[in-house]
Amino acid sequence: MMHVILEVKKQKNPHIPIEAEEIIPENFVNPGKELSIWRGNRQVPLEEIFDIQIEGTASSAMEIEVVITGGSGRIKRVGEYMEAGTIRIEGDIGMHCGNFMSGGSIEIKGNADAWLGREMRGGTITCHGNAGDYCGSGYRGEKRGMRGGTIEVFGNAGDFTAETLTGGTIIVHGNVGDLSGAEMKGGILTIHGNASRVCGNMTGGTCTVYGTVTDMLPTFRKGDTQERNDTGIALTEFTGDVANRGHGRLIVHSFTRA
Amino acid sequence: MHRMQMFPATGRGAAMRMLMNSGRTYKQGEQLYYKESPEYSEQTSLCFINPIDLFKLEIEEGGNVEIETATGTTVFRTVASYDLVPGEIFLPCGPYANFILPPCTHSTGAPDFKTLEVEIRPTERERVSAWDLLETEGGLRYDLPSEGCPTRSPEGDKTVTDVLCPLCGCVCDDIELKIRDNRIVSCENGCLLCSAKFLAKNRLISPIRKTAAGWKKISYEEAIRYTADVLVEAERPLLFGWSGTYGEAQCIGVSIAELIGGVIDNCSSECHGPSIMAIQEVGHPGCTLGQVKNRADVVIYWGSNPIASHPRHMSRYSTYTDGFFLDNSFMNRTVIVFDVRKTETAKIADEFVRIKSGGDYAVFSALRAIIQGKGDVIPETVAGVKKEELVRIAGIMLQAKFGTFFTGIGLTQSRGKYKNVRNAIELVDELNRHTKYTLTPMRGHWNVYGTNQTFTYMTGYPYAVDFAHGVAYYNPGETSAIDMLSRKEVDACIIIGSDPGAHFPRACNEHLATIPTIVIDPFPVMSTAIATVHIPVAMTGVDAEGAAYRMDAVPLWMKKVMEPTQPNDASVLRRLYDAINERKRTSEMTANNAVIIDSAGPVNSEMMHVPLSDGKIVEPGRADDWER
Ligand code: SF4
Repeated sequence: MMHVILEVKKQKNPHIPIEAEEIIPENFVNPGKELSIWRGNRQVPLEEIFDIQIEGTASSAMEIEVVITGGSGRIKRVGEYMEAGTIRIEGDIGMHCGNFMSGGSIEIKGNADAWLGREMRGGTITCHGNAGDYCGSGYRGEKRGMRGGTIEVFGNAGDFTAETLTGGTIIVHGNVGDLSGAEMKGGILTIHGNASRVCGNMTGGTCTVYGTVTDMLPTFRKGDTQERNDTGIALTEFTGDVANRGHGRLIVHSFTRA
Repeated sequence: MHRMQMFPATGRGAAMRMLMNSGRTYKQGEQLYYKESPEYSEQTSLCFINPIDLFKLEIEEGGNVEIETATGTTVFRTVASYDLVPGEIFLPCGPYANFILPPCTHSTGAPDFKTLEVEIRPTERERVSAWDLLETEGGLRYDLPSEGCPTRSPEGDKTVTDVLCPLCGCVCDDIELKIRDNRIVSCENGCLLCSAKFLAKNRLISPIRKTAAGWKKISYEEAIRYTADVLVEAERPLLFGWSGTYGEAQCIGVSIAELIGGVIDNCSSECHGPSIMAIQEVGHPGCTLGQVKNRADVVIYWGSNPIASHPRHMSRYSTYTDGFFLDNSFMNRTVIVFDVRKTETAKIADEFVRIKSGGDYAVFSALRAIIQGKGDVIPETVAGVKKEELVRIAGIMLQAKFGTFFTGIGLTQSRGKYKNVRNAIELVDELNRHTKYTLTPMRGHWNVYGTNQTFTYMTGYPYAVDFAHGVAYYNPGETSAIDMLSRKEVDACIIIGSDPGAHFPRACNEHLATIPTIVIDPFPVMSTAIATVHIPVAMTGVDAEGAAYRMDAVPLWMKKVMEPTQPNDASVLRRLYDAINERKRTSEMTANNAVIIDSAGPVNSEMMHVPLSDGKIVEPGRADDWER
């Protein structure tokens, strides 16, 4: 087992974004490999941003745990394209954490910025704080977003959560922002708190809201199952989005109309 | 000074929570090139409010109110208006509305100019001026008397016809200008916004630099050298604006961005960028304005008030114009307006549908379902609109032989942003199963569509293009100007052909005031206050020429009517490009240069430690050697 501890150094200008797509467990299998990351428009060696400590050895990414500590809230793309192993983030993490990941796991103790697990294919992301906008979403103009894996957020998630969700599971224990589940095509979105205008233009998949949906869209048809009792919470099932000729399932506890 | 303390709470009536929308007014538009004037402050510090709300606030029309959000508080003068529903106020866009506007864009690039919750209360306090606001944001006013206009007419007095108007996205091409004594003295055919711009003579003559002792004139050489130095050192430079300049200059801008690893963004990120994001998702069922003029029998303005923003749109391209394939066009065209307030346009439309602020998405969805024959799922009202009303309007839409939607920033700047436009396009798609429909976003600036065209053909992306890694990357919300500035990541900025000082949320201006910011513009603008250097240039359409794209993407050549005595945008940028190249070649990054970035302080006048040249001041207006 190998532990790679990356402690973020104090930055001269802490606002400049850092893009660190090379921080994935695979890249530490050979500890001699030179890694570089971007600070704004400057490509710098990993050591310039982090104090690096490596304990133990590993023969494959699966045996590697990368731990990021310190002020990592502006560091983007950590875990992008990762396939195996573990990344643990002790604080907050910047945008695009776990983009396109297909295996392994990421655990975030603090908050995650926007586009957490964008276009994810597999693996798991656990965020103990809040997630930003576009959690588990797609990219601009893209028809399909997340296709597999699991994202679990214990806090709230932002607007457009699970936009174009096509496969996999997203669970948010808090509330989600506006227009979450927009253009959902498949997969499972579960929201334990409240939401607004969920699942606009959805065509497939299942979204369950255990709280209240405000400004519920007018184009969802009440399904055969009018009421059901699941985990003690009364739920009403809808299908839609009718406007989009969709057959998604939207199950909500209560709702208000715009 | 602590921002909030500047405006202590006072007042008699109780405070009320209301929804704020901000947008264009005719009078605000007229003052766009006179921003230093008290009239601009007057026109942008108004608050339109329903008389019922005035009554509740226990004030008379004309009384002042304080409007507060989490971002700040400022004072407005009330104007009674029955066009608004009680509970909603309307503010002209400009520095006052933006002073209280939070910079959050929901990761879409465009902030909540509409549907923003505010607290409003009566106050005895007076309004401050726009310059005061900019100084509160960390700027320094530029209110020196104008040195006039630098244009020259070698042919003497003349009348020029078929001039193109460099103001709004209509780019009218029938303007007639009279020139006497090297100045434009009259402007025919154009609307008031057009005349106001052509007749504006308060240009900036020489480059200026902010110093601890106030504004100081510098030479173009010095200004370029400073700008090149700043850009080469920056780790996250931003080049913003571009919609007020022509295509050739925009292309050089893209090359500069690539050269310095910067981000280049244009005004669409805060206006119709969301329309483009929607188009990227579901395509653009567009057409030229000529098609609309000659064929459209149903014209729908949605979230757009052309009478204020594009005054001749209705007379040149839609409502009032003769159509080749449409007999008695004026009588036979049906104009439908969807808006949250009864705008000037709504008042002359055949149908006006008032939507609850932020409810557009739901209304589009409902109309789509009704047109599919699934009206049974629709509840009795949708966002304040009765179902029968929607069914009736859908009927009118389906009757059209050729229908067209003009969508405005009412959709792109309100809740849901690009998803609203996407839903509008999906409605057009639905209608196209029955008849012919098209959709054209009401692009604001005369060449804002041009920015999207040139950026796209050079980089593959229409705006918010990030070259930090040497290749183009695009993601509004991440690489768009307002988001980058509010996250304070930008460490040097060029502003050209745009005025974020007047149109960006306050937090963005506060950041711009702490970094080297270079403004390139013919006029002193609000952004001058937050700049370190302002480089004046010739004005496109008057003494500079180049390509522009009208709101329907038709490219047009903006003629010049006089000769410049100042460099134009392209020549300044070309010089800048060369200077950056030169600078990159001759000097490695040295520790001594890093000082520029290090010295970021509260006032950007402290950021002027860049080694300056001999300090020789070139005679203002002498730029002849530039063009060679
Ligand atoms: S409508 Fe627009 S382009 Fe036409 S004259 Fe007026 S401002 Fe100029």
